[in-house]
Amino acid sequence: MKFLHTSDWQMGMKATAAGSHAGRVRQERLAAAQRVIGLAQRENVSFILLAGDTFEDNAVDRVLVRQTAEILQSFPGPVFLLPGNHDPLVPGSVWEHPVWTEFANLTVCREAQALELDACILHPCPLTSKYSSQDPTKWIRRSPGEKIALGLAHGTVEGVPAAEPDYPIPRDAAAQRDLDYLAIGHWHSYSAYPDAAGAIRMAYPGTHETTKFGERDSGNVLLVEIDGPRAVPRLHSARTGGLHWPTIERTLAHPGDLPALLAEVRNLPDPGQTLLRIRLDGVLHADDRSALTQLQEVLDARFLHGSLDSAAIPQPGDDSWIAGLPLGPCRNAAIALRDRAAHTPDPASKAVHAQALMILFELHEKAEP
Amino acid sequence: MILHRVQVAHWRSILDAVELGPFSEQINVIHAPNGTGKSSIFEAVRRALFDSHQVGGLEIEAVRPWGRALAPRVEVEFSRGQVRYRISKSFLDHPSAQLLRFEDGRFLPLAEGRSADARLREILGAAAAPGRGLSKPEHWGWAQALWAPQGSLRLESLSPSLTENLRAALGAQIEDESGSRLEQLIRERYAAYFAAGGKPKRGRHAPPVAAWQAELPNLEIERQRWLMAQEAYEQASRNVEDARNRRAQAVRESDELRHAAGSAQRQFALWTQIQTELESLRLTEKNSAELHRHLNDSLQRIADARTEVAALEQSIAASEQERAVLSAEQKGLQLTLEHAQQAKQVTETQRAAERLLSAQLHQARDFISETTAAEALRRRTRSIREREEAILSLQRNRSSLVAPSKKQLAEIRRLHSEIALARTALEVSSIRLRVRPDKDAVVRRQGEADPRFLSPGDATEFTGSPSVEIEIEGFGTVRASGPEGEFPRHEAALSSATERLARLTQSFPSPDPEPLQQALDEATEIERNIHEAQERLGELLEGKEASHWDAELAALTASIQQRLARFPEWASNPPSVQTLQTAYDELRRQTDQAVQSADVALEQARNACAAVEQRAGTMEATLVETRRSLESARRRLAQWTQDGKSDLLRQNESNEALLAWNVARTLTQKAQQQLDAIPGDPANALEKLQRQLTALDDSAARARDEENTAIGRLHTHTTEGPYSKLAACEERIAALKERIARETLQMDAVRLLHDTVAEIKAAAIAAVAAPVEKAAGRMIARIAGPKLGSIALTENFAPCGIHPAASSQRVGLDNFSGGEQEQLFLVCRLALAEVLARQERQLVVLDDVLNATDTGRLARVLALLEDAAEHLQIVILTCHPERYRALNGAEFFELKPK
Repeated sequence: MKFLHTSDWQMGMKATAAGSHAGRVRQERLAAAQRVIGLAQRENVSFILLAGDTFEDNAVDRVLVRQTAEILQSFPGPVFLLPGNHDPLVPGSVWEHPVWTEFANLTVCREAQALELDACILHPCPLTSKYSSQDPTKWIRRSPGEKIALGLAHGTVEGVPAAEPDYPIPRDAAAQRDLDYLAIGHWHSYSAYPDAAGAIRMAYPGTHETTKFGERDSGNVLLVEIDGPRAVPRLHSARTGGLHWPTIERTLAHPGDLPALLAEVRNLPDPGQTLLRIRLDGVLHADDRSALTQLQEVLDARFLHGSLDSAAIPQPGDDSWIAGLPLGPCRNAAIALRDRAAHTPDPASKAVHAQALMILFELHEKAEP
Repeated sequence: MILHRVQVAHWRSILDAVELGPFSEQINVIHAPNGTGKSSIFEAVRRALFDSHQVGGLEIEAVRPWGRALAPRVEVEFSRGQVRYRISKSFLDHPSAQLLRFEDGRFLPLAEGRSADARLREILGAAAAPGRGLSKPEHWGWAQALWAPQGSLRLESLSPSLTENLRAALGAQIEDESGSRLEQLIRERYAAYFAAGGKPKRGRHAPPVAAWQAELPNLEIERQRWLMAQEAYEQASRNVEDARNRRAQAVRESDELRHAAGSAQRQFALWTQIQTELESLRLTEKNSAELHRHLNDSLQRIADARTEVAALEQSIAASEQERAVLSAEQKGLQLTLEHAQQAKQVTETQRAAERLLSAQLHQARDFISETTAAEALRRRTRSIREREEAILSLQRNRSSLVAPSKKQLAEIRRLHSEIALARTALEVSSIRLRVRPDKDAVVRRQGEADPRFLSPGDATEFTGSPSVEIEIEGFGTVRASGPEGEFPRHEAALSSATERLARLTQSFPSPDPEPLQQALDEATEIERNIHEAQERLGELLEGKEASHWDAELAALTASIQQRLARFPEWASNPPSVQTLQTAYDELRRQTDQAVQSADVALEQARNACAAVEQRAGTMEATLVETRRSLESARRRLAQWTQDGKSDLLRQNESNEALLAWNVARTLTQKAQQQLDAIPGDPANALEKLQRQLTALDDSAARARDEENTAIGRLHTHTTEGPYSKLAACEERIAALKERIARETLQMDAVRLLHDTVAEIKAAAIAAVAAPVEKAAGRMIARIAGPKLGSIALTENFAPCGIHPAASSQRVGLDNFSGGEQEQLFLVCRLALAEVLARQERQLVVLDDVLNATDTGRLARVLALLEDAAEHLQIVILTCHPERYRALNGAEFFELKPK
């Protein structure tokens, strides 16, 4: 038996980090959903398990609900959708939309009740509120018989750093509930939890499309194969994400560091599908200053979205350009700004001082005949 | 620059050419009366050096001598940088300019026309000329600070070029040309964001960030709107959930209640059945109990009646025996009562004898009293008679005595005195004529009929008033007279007093006061005796008439006679009250004892008789009542036994009734126990349950309605898709905030750069101005002493205030007197001149200054000028040359009026 395990589609999520390209980011989630269906078809999976948080919120636009359902219904096999903590089964939820009853292959798991399928028995654990300290899987009792036992749940595996337990799921929940595989969702990066024998019977597939900067291993789904009851599942993570969210953090130290970074950024693949965040620190050498401007230009021009956060300041010992400033107030001001920037503990103040020096540098270039 | 010579013609009041010079390189004083043209010469020098020769306009036209077609001309010789020049200019008509340079011992042309103007400004370091207009101080170059035109000693501000020259001269290179350009770019960048006051620009020149920031509140409002919509959606969802829960709960409760109502219904049926049975059993129990009680009561009544009849018959027999005993006792007591009554009659006789003796005793006591009182009355009446006779005798004596009253006697005495006084006055006022003849003489007084015959040696006196006239026979008439008037008045007074005395004393035996006093004393003594006798009589009469006491005595006497008529022996032998009292007391004691014994015996006998009679009566009544009760009891017994049943039969019937009662009671208790086993009132409980059921059904219906309403509202919110709207809005806000943050960083950086440059520049300028401030401060201290402190200059070297030694606050120049102000401006100009003269000697022109400076300070100013002349050429224009005569080494040039 082979099925596709995905979760946390977060349809309709806000993408404030994407600036003016937030709409594009949202649209890409739908495209990623289509890629998931395509993958499922190509892999000839029996069914799809969507382990919660299909939508970012129950109050998303109903057109989006329909769009999502339309994509899902295009899969020829059954699709089982689990209400998660972002889209719990409450009055007015997305699951009350009539579209879920229009397509026979779509099943919204509304009850914590075993569903007997052809080759397996599915134990879904739908959520009915945003927060709970209860283990959603604790109701599961493996039914007697010779079918594969699957669980479908949404929550936080114990041991994952979290502010407070939110639908806690034991790390050995699959063993406790005597399940062959427990498909879980909630965390956006792929995580697998092997049992004592090393068999992976519980995993987060991660979101199908990266949601923000900093996600470790997102933009994937899991293809799960189980030969039979008690058999060890075989998991394969497949890429479905369309956008890249890399973050480059550099501390500039030597002359040429910034041009090297610029070259690196220029060589990044698929910039039209990339949201790039660059964080700079350290010192900026006089000869590298023009590279900083170029870097910003490259970010703006080539990438879907680029963000440059520079706290780098001109190198204290590098007086070459300051020495080139005309004698008098401007040169003295440059020295004062450079010294203050080097010594101020406030990052915001440091950034202002660095920027002031940059402007002086720029104006000096302009003033030179 | 050093000025050597000036020649001016056709300039305002100067018609003929006037030449001044050669000037000293130190101090020169050009003096002339007012209106002569001192300031015109200074003006001509300025026009020659700084104005284009082609200037036009009203101002230069005003220079032309009024009413003359003369072209103003001026020629100035000066040195600059060890080179001597001559400039000749003609204005207005055929304007011309020629610049010559002293070379090889003579002046050779250097430039002409406009070239001469330009070259000259270049030599002098002056700013570009203002075209065809006249130059202003800002075009004068260094002369702006060094030359003080008339009335313009005040130094407001210096041109940038002069300022730069000053700074350069002070050796402080603030910035070069490229620095200025960079600074200008910084200012331009700053001006793109900020207004002159440092605030961000507004309006159409505002930077884009202003528009973004203005957009932000609208987006925030929109965000709040969607946030509220999102909350409303979530609340609507909860409302639906709550309503569903309430409806489900109501249905659950309703089901439970229906189950409870079924149980209650069954319970109620059982309860009703037992209740009916119980009522029947209770009735049976009641009837059995009543029958048993009735039979039992009949048995008891019959037994009681029989007992009562027997007891009553016994009581009647005993009462009849007792009645016989009481009758015998009653007869004995009647005899005893009769004996007591007889003894009582004997004591009445004894009481009559006692009353008789008592009456005799009272009579004797009254007789003795009346006899004593009659004797006292007799004595009183006798004394009354005696007193009345004595008073009568005294009254007769008083009536026979004629005596004046005290008042009359006093009047008599006063009249005697008055007469004596009148006589004395009369005597004093009379004419006395004493005649003592030596021989017999017949003397006849005029008015007297009879003559007087005087013997020899006998003296005879004639008195009279106002004159005494006598006729002595044989001798003649003698008349003596005195003053008139007094005598008749005294004579009249004497006559009046004598007449009144006679009238007053005519009823008395003598007018003499002494006998009259004696008679008055006697009368007074008699009256006092009469008064005392009357008082004693009054005491005896006790306010009553004497006849009263006589009548009293007569009445007593009559009473005594009456008592003597009853007891004649008392006339000879008066009774003894004591003896009679003793006899009476003994008799009374004996009688009281007898009466008391008889009364006691009689009372005892009467009480005993009454008691026996009462007992007999009571017994008779009791006997009657007992017989009546006996009759009643017999009737009742007959009634209760008239059915003819035996006592045994009655007892059997009673036992049967008791048995039936016990059975009924046991059954009732069992039924009651069954009823008690059913809690509460099933009917009431059933009714309540049915009401609750109805209420729950209503509640469920309401919850269903609420749920439907909530679902409708939720649907409205859901259709809106608030989260998606909120997300889009927050994304726009985030993008906008990012742009604002970038732009704000840019603005903050520009401001920081601008402010830092300005701050550093201000510090550099302050450092440059310090030497000038120091020099000016030193000079003003020489003039005015240390109290004015140091002078503060602006960044353009214009004085802006004073830091007094006694205060930390800067004081504006306007707060100083006119004299001090001109001294302050003078020292500032001299200090600046010293700076500018570091490379070469400079010309300082002071046109009509120091007019407000007092003589004391002027002397110090002159000393200062002498010192300054070491580095400066000083030209002073004044109409008071005497004020500058003390200047050592000064050259004086007089401009004579035409």
